[in-house]
This record gives sequence, C-alpha cells and structure tokens, in this order.
Amino acid sequence: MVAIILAVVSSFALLGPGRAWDLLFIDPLINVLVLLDIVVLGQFGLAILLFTFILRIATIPFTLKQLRSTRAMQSAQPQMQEIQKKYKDPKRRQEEMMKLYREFNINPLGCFMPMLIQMVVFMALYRALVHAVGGSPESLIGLSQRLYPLALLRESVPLNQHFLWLNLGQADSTYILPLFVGVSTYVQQKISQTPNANPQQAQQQQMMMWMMPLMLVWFTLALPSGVGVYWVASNIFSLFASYYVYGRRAISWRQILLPMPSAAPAPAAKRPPSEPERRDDSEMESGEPAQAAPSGKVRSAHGKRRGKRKNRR
Amino acid sequence: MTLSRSLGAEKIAAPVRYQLRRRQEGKRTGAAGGRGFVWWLLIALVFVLVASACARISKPQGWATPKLADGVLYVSTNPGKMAALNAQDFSTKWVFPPDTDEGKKHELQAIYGAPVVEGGNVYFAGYNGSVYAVAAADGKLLWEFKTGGPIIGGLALAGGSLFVASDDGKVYGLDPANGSLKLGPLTVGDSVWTAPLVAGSTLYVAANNGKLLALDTSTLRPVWDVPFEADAGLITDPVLAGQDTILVGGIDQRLYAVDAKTGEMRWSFKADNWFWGRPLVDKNTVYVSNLDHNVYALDLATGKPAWPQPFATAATVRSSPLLAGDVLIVVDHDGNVYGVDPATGASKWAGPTLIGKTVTADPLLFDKEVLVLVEGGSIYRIDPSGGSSPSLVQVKP
Repeated sequence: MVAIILAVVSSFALLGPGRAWDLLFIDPLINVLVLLDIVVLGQFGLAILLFTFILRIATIPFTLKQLRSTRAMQSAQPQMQEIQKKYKDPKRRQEEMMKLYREFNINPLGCFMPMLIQMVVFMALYRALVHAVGGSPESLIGLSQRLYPLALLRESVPLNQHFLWLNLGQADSTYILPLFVGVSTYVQQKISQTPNANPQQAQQQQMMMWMMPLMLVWFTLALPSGVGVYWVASNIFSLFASYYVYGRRAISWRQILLPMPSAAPAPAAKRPPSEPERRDDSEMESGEPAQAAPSGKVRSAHGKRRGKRKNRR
Repeated sequence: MTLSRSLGAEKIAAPVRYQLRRRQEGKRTGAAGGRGFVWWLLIALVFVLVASACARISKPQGWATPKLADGVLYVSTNPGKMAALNAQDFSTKWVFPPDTDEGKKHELQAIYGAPVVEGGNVYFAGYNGSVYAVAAADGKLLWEFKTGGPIIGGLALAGGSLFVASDDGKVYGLDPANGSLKLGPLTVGDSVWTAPLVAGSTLYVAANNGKLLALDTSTLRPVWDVPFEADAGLITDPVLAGQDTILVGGIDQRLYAVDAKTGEMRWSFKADNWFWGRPLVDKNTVYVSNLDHNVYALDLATGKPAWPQPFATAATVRSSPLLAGDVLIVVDHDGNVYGVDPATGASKWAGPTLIGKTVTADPLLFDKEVLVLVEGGSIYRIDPSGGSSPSLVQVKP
C-alpha cells in the first residue's frame, strides 16, 4: 500500500498533476469502461453497473472494516460516555479513550479509505464519462487519444449513450435519477451513522445527514447521468454490505426515518465486537440518555426514563 | 431574594458553561473530532470535484467548413450561429438566429456540416436536430425541419431534394422549397455522423454501424444488392474519387476505396487511429489526415503510400487537408498550420505557423489565401506561399 501511495505521489510530482491524473486514473478507467461495454454487448449503462460491482467487491475489505468500526463505535458509546463522565483530566480521558478504541478495535478514521476511494472514483468517473460519452462530437477526438492501441477498444466506439430513460453523457432532466441519488445516499448514511455523545458533533452529523444527499442531488442535476448511476449502484451495494454486517433487524424503517438518538452512558460494559453479536433495534436504542440534554435540542425517547431513574436515586 | 436570584443565575449559566466545557473538550479530544475531520474532508473533495467539473465541461462547438458563394462567406462565427459576411471587407450581412425574441426560439447549439447555397437560399443543419433554410439576401428564416437527433454531418442537394442524415439513424429527403418531407425517412440501422454524398442519381450514406449505403435519389431504394460494411463505424464524409470510387473511413482505423457501382471494396489502408477528416483527392493521389497525428498520401488506384513516410504533426488532425496551389495545407487540432509538398510529403515551410487555438473545421481557400476557422468562431487568414504568421480577420458587425 505504501509503495502504491509513493508511486502515485512521485508520478504527480514528475508528470504534473493534470498529466498524472489522466495517466493514472482517467485513461485506465476509460479503457476499463470501454472493455466492460464490450463484455455487456454494447450497453454502456450496464458497463457502469458492472464496473461499480467489481470495484465494490475489490474494496470490500475496506468497506467491511468501516462498517465493523462503525458498529464497534455504536457498541462502545456507553463506555465512552462513562469515561467522559469519570475522567475530568482531558489527557487522562484521552488515554482512556484510546484504550477503549484499542479494546473495541475502533479506528476513528476507519471510514476514510472507502470514502477516499469512492470520491476518487467519483471524480475520475465524471471525467471518464465526459470523454467516453461526452455531450459533443469534439469529446470523441479526445477519446481517440485516450484509448489504448487495441483494435478491440478503439473499434467499439461510439458507445451507446442510452440506458433506461437516461442519456449517460448528459444530466437527467427528469429528476428521477437525482432523486434516487439523494434517497439512496441518505439511507446509506443513516444506516452507517454512529450515535454521537458530543451534542455539537451530533448536530454537525445531523446537518451532514441532509447536506450530503442534497449536494449530491445538486451535482447529479449538473453532471453526466452515468455518474449518478454509479452513485446509486454504489449506495445499493453499501446497503447490502450493511445488511451483512449489522443484520436484518438493525436496518429498519424506524432507524432510517427517525432521528438518531444521542449516545448514552451504560452502567455495564458490553463485550467488544470481536465477539460476534447481532443487535436489534431495541438494543441499539436502549441505554441511558445522552449528556446532551442540557441543550434541550438532542432529546430521545429515553429521556423520561432517565428522569424516573434520577428520581428513584 | 438573594438565594432565588443566585439560583436563577445558576439555571441560566449552566447550559452555557456546559457548552463551553464541551467545546473545550471537543478541541482536546482529537479522536472524537476524527469523524468531523473526515466529513469536512469529504466536503472539500466534493468541492474539488465540482471545481474541476465546471472548468472543463464539454459543449458542442461545431466544425462547419465555411462556404464562399457569390461574394459572400457563410461561416459559423459562434457556436450555433450562421453568419453571412461580405467577402470584400468581412462586414456582417446577417446572423442566424438573430438576437431577437424570435431568434431565441432557435437554439442550434452547434453547426457541424458545411452550409449549402443554392437558388438564393442557404441550407444548414444544427446539432439540435433541425435543418434550416434561410434567404441568402437577409437571413430570414424560410422553413425549419426537425429530425429525431443531432445532425453532425452536413446536407446534400441534388435532383430537387435536400438530403440529410441524422443521429437518429434516419435519412430524410426534403423539398428545398418548403422543407416538407419528400422521401423517407429511411432507417439505416445506426446513427449517422457524416454528410450524404450525391453522385449522379445515387445517394451515399455512411453510418456508425460501418455500413455504406447506396440509395436511389428519387426513391431512397438501395442500389447495391448488399451494402458495403466496414468493421466499425464510418465517420468520414464519403467522397467521390475519379469516376467510380467512393472513399470513406472511420473508427476501424481504415480508409476504404469502394466501387461506386457495386459496393465492392477495391482497397483499404490502415493507420493507427480513426480517420475523421474528409479525404482530399487530387489527380491520382488521396490526401487524408488521421487522428494518429499523421497525414497520409495514397495512390488512388492501389491505396499504397505515395510518400516515403507520412507527414507527422504535433497534434491530432481532424480537419481535411487543403491544396493551395502547390502547397498542401494541414492544420492540426492545436492550431499548428503546416505547408507540405504534395509530391514528397516534406515540409515546404521552415516550420509550422501557429494559430494557437483549437481547430477542427476544414480550412478554406479564399482568393489566394487560406482561411482557418478556429473553435469559438474566430477566423484567421494565412498566406500559403510562405507560411507567414496568421492574421486574425476582423469581422465587422
């Protein structure tokens, strides 16, 4: 991995960002897509779907790591709360947190790699689609310079731009695809969301929960619809991966539609996720309410119970 | 009183203190801030994407070859606009569509095919899929005919019909007087990006499925028993060479010479990339550009190279070569203009003269000069004898 990163960085330094980006990402992607187009008998939309599937399968170790890290984060929230409550000294608290992360196999930046891959592919795919099924004949002149010198690849152009109701080289004017992109991104985010103990961060997370889908809807309205097809397919794959990791009961309509309850400290420590355990809705939403209550903004259904317990004490 | 006041202050101050403490804690606990960092990084990446996307969105520009007729130069000086310029002083006679409310209804996007001028009318087709007829005198719209897809090739007028082939995969025969459909539409099986060719009473249409069709101009019925078929899409405008040879090329990296009467292949020549420029025929030699950065000279009878080696250009060449006296003018995609000896393929000039703008349209011989239309609509004139620096034509409004 380090060797790959070094090779990429040195290529950018030697060739310049534009040329290196083209050489390392855009051109290979274009050729792969054209090759897949041949495999699926000239249906470029199917080629994008096949590409998404292959890419997501290839990066499944990262995806699963991310999902397991998220799940572990969910499991460790009570302990995190407890640490925050117990240790006033920030340094000590940090140490305890890190200890907890190690214990639960949590990597706070675990989601970084899949996201980075997604974003790089998203950007490269956009450029690749502009060349491959670009909205003008001029773009094909550029494509002719990017295809590898294989008759198989060069003779399969022009690519079929039409897929379902879409013109893959142009933005979807029916608003159906942007809607799919928005909804699937929201659901995918919602499922992989972790309860957040910090009210500020919880608020930020809630904002992002809406911001990201809306931004992607906006982009889909402007970008070639092939990019949107990739994004929707990728989100659907993520949903299946979440299903595999979390289990059926963890992915419920309630979880998707209702706001995420804030994290709560638990009296008893739970076992780390290294011991497989499937959690259901009630388990996910159980436990003590968040410390965030003073702000009055993040209030879950368990608030009443906490009040009762306080009274009992 | 003091106690209640202090209690009230405590009530108000507690959430504020809590928030401040939380904020400080948030700053100190780097791990908790990790997710926030990732989110903001994601946003930054998305913005980078948008910035790069907006910077290089490809829009159709058009590569219509200018046409000189009756002292008027018809040229697309802006994407989607056709202008008539006085050839004497390059003053503008008219522009279609005009910048009026009525003109704004016609958004051509781009014009790829050369205009056809006949009988006081000018015919041209837009990337929006419409064929337009305007009066040559004042640019007034006479009629419009809509096809089912963008028109990337041009038009052909012969036998009282105006022929157009569209990206919708159909060939239309229109009445040039009123734009009504006279013949067809005939489905050719795939999109068409080339201008039809009329030779005698036969219409030749090259399609993206690699088929070259020969059709009767009065009925659109096939003339050949079996159409000629290449291995991949044909994207050069078919050209008649000599009496009975059709030259056509395309995506399978080959230029074909096809018997105009039977549709049988006479020879083919393979290069390293697509042929997209219209072949130029002079006596027994075919000059043709290829997207492999080369211009080839071929013997018309055999298809064998006529030069010891092809003429290499710095960038890819989409436009067709032009013979200006005894100089073969070649303009590459980056705006380098070359003067080539048509007999040997050697450079006749000290080096290429640089326009420095993207060029995809064919150059035009204009008096004793060469006009080059660049992307965006500017026109440059070049002296073909010496290759002096190109000068920008000042178009008068």
